[in-house]
Amino acid sequence: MRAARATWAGALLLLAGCSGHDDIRTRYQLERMMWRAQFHQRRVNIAILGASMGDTQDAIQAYRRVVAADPFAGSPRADWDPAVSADIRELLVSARVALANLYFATERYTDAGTLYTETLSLGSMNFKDVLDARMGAARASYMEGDQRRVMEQCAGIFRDVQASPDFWAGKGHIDDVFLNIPVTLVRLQTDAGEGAAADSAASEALAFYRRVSHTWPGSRLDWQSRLAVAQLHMVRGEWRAADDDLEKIIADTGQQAGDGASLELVLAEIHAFRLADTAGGAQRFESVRSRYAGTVAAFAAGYDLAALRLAQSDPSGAARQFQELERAPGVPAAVASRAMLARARILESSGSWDDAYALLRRLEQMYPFTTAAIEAPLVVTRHYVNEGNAAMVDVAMTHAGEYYNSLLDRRSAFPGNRLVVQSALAESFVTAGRADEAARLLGAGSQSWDEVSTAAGMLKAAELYGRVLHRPDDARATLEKVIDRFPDTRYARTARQRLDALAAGS
Amino acid sequence: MNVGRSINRYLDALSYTRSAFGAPGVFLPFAMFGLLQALILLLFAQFTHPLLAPVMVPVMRWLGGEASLHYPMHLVGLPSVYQRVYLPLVASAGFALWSFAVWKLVDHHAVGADRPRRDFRPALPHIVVIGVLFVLASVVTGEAASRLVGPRTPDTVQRAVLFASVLATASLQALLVYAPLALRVRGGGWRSAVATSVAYARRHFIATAMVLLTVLLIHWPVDFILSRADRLAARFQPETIVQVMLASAVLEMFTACLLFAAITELALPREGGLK
Repeated sequence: MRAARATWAGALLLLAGCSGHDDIRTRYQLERMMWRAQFHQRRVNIAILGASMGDTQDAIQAYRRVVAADPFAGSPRADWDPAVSADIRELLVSARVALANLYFATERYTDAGTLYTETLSLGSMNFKDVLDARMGAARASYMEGDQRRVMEQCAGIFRDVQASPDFWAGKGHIDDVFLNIPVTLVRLQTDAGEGAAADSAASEALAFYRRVSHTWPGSRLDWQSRLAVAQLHMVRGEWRAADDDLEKIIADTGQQAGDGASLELVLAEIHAFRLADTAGGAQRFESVRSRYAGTVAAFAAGYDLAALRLAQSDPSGAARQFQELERAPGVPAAVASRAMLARARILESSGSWDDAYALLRRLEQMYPFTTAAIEAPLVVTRHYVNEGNAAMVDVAMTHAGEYYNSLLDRRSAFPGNRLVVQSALAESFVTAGRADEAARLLGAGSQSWDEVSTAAGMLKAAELYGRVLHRPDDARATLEKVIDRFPDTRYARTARQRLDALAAGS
Repeated sequence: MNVGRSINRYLDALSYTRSAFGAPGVFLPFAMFGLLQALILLLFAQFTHPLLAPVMVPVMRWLGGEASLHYPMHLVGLPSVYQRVYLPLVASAGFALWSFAVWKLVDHHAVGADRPRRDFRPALPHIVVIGVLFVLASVVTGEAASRLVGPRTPDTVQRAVLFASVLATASLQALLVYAPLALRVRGGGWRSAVATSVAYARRHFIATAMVLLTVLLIHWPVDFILSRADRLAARFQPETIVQVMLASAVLEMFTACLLFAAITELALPREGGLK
């Protein structure tokens, strides 16, 4: 009896001594919720091409539940095991970033941007997560059309990498994309007309890349940094410096890793078209053609050689070279189509329009998805407009409309950018004096167009109403339609900015 | 004993198990052990419940390490964590309850009912020793098989070793399986019970081994699924592992009943048998 009492007392003491393990329980529950969210996410990833909105919405809801269950939201939980608390914080950051990524994938750019920024402001993130979140925020801002915030996030990424002890200690491996961020920042600032900021960022970027090369000489990072410095000089229009950089990089055969042909082509193009060194450029193009025969770079060098000849006022010689390139075995579609377009223009300017027209039609038939083919109807329209041939303008416009619509159809196999097609369509109609028709066509869209094409088409229509047709009321109505139909997207943001600009203008 | 006669005895033994399933008093100990297993499994599966966590979190950490406190590793590792509890449990409570059922089976059997009654309680320590030996037989063969198979062992060899280990377990357990019956029918200690069991099993080895193989083969699909718990969790839900383990415990209620009922029938023929 006494022994039984002692056992019960011991058991009670043991129970009293045990804590509730709230930290472990909470972590377990969050891990379980996270597993559910990742389960839906896996379904979305597996069926990425035909991902049903149901799976994506389920994944979003599941991640939202994880984020909402943040145990530190109302209390610091000072009595919890620090290791378990750190696990929970890491898990919450992963859930937040995953949720933001899903918002981004479903074009909820404002929600994505807000969540990325909130996650950054929470702190307690490791170096790589910070970079990923900043990159996510930058992408979301870009999709929203907010260049200012894109630049802020790029500057943040650059600052974080520069100041990271882990990075300089070689512990924090970062993707190449982050190493190129300083160049992107300078390019964005230059494009935005912020010369002083671009100058300052460029000198900081140069110092950063030099330090990287000095810290890890002969490494992949060194190679990436040297390429980035060359790009930086190109962005800044410092062609002589870019030329020096590329010469040194090409001379260092140990590090090229298959980039040699394209680097030599860029160097030749700098000489031929930027430094007015036509002889040097031509020599380098020939070198690329012979050393890398059969590659895309070799065919591109052949095109550049012909273009150089044309620039040197030898159209017949250039036309001959373009024609040889068109017929060369294995020539890539992009190069062959550009050669055909260039030759058609030479034929047009030499008065052989019938041959030029036939060549342009052949170009459309042979390479319908290339940029050159998209430009071909514009060349035809412009020719007949300049000729004053109204009947043929009608024919050309009918053909252009059919061709461009075939590319814009979401079921078409066109792999390129449909916005380029819309721009070409608008320009063709404007050239033919039918901007009104283009605005109506683009503003109404088509059921066969995808969402992006429809939204971008409406923005283009508003632009035509405002700038070409001078009908601000129609422009305003079209922009409001964009906001209604595509809320929380970069199209809505752009539409709002343009509405503000219209209001300021009136 | 020729093979044809052994098969006939095996089939008769299987046929007899129907009457054992029909007797609630016989089946109850098996059901109780199944219930005990289900209870322990639920404690392990629900260790984060506020009422259980104060005790079960340290228990889980002790049995499965820090990984067993994380989802879904807790469930993926549950079969191996549970195995550490199951083996001592089956050697003690499991064998005690099953042997108690053997006492009932003998009483329920037409031939066994004529044998003098014997008190169960004095036999309990000997039953536990026999249970430990019975469990050791499967642990030793399992351990030997796992040492023979490495990550680079070809699939065919792995399957051959697995099959050989099942045969070896069946053979070793066949030699010990009559021991509880020997205690019930002849009395004495575990040594004499084991000696009687080995001698009787050797005489009726084919039929005995076939009964044990039948039980092991019925369990094999469930054991196979649980040996791939990680894939089960990834393919369905991690909770499926607990469901399969509960199903395994329920299945064991019936297979253990089948085993001991068939063995009782083999041990108590109308002529001869254990005396």
